[in-house]
Amino acid sequence: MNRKPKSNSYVQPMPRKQFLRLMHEFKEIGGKYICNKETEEFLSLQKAEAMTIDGFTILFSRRPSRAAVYEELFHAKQFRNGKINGSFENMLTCEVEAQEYLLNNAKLLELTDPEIIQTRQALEWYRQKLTELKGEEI
Amino acid sequence: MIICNVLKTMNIGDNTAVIVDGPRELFRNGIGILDENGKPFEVLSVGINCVDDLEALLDKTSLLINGNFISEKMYI
Repeated sequence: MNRKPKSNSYVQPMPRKQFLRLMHEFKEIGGKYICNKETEEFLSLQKAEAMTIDGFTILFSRRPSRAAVYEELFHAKQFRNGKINGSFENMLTCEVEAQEYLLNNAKLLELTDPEIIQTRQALEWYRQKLTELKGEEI
Repeated sequence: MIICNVLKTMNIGDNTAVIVDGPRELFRNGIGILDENGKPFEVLSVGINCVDDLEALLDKTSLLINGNFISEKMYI
């Protein structure tokens, strides 16, 4: 029997034990995460793997990647630090910061090569949108 | 006044997460919106997503609305 080879862009989900450990730490600071069929349906409308609602609430699809989990925890911290006002420009700035955090800590966070590639692409896209919005080089 | 279609809702505790077909640029934390009956609500926060398709961020927006928001339209 053959195993169908995974495409080069396949992103491994975060191991369940690791995910639960991180969520336990998040809950200890008052955080709440929701990860079930309902959130998966909700997120699928925006083709999203996860969503940070505020500093203490994150929605996850059922098998999020390492990059998605660490990114949303980073966004939750940005919310708690008062960095997020919800405007489009602010969202782009916060996303640039989050992607840079992931790339600068890729080894520590054990991001896979496909995740690193996707994060680089996302960073480029957010920077381009920010440049278009601001009309200047960043 | 701009009208958006409400595409999906989900209860989050006492509040409601909502996806609308309005462009992202319309929204920020704290703005007031109305439901289809003219009842006012507040956008508690605009959601930040980790998406597979970045362009999908631009024409649909996720919001956390205070209270129980049940409406097919949103007025901004």
